[in-house]
Amino acid sequence: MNILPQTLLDGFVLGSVYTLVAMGFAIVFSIMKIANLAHGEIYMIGTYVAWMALLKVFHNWWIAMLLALVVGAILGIVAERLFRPVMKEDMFAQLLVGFGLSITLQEMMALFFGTHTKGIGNMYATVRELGPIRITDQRIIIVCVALLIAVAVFLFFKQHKLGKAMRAAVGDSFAASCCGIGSKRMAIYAFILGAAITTVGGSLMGPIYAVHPWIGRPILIIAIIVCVIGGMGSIEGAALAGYLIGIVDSLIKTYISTTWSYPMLYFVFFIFLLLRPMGLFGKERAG
Amino acid sequence: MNKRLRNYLIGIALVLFLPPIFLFGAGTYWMHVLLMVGIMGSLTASLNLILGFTGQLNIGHIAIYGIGAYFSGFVMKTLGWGFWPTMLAAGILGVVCAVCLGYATLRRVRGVYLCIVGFSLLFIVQTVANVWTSVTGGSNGLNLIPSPTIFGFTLDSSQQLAWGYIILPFFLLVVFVIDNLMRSRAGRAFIAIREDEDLADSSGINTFAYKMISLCIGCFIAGVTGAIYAAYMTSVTPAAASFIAGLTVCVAICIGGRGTIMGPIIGTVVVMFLPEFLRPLGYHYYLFFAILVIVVAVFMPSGIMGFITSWQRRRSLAKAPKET
Repeated sequence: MNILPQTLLDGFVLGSVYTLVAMGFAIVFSIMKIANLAHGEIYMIGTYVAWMALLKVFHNWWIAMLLALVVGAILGIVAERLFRPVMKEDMFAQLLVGFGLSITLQEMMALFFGTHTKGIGNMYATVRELGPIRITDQRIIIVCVALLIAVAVFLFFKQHKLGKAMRAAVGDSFAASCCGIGSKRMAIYAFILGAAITTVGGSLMGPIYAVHPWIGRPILIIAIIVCVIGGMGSIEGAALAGYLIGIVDSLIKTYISTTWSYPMLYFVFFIFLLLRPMGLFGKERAG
Repeated sequence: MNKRLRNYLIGIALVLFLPPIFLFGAGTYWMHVLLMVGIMGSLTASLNLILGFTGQLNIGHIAIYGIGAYFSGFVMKTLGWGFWPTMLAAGILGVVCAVCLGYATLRRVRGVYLCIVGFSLLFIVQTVANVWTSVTGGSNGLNLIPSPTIFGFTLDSSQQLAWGYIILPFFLLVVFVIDNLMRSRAGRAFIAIREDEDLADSSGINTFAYKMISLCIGCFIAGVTGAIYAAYMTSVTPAAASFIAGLTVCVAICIGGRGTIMGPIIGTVVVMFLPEFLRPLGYHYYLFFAILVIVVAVFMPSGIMGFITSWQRRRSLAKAPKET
């Protein structure tokens, strides 16, 4: 039986969430030039929101996603507050703040919710079959919602006044502030948008993946890999590379081994860095 | 007697007298803490060379230490190598890793990629350490590593006095080497690169070469330190190169003061003794530590040595003769 189409489909589903998380990271990085090392934990909190909303309170996935959006926005504001004093400093202080925030969030979640992995169980578990591939409604929802959000973010940056303002602040922050676009406010918006997307990604993926305090770390690495391969500073690149990495990840997991999927992904990343460091759509100049 | 000679004489005196004072005065537990200060201090000093002096933000540096420790454990246990060749080999392995890292990141793009790759390398080392059970023993670690023998005398973990006279002089040696390095032409090149890389480049300094040199020396020291750790502890677990450990080293540099010689020493002492005094916090120590990291990064980016230098500067300004 040919498992390739199924693998590709699973990879596409995985890639949808990778895209959301990577876009969140890329937004903050491209607008603020800050690599937020606590980004994985923002995803992790998204999964916990989904767990709480689904299992304990509302039993409704859509409400969970909305809640995740709100929680993400709050997290974005908090993160911006923490990063604000070190935005002017060099990267080391930013990295320490990110690193420290990451472990703080992990430990806080472990403290409040315990360290064992939680399962959410199946919702929308109707399985549909199309030839060699089987897909559950749940995964269809994940793909659609992720796609919707990605397209919405693109349109936002292209058409919406605020999105264009944020791009202006990146391009030339002095000129932008002469036009009334405050870079400090843009920083807050960038963080809010980046975090909100990521928590929704967490609420999408949480039910089928895992919910525990340390899920953030591999997700952060994947977000970084996706952003680098897509091109640091390019949000479109992150989006496309997200799907690509999802598919590659799924292929590695199926045809080689699950446990070695991360090291192999990293190897691919390393090779990419050697051969084409600016990524697919890179905006950062090389060297 | 100039200040530098005085400082090193104090250092030699500490190396001579601290081991017996700790072992016989405070007990085997505190002696172990002292030995770990020596080991982590060497690691911190090596990272300080790369990060503090050359400005390369390799926050995953502890991964090299982890690779050195696992490599040493493996070759000493399974291949039966002696300790001293293993130390050298671990150092060379560190240099190999540095060359790979350097070529991947330093040649083409800005240092931010070194930061990303370094951080990811730490993650990969952790994952591989947990997964490659045949070599690394998985999460249980590599155990029962044979202890080194000198002249027939076996240095197992209980021979703390002997280890004290190996680890502490090694630490002093590392500090001495880095100090001399920074006083040389290469050291000035490192600082130039840290301050303004483009300007250094246009002044004729081969920035790539000097960045590689500092990375290689730092990773060599980290590899050797890993070997020492493996031999002393006789076991290597993934916790040796965990994220918390990596963060601890970075915080040690930050607290002590980046780009200073004394900085790593002070920072390591603070960071290794802090958990001992905060024992009552129990498991919550990590949360407290992480919050402390944020606080230190925001309020004290130049560390204790930075504070001391600015205090000295203010004092000397106050003493300056007033204009008439």
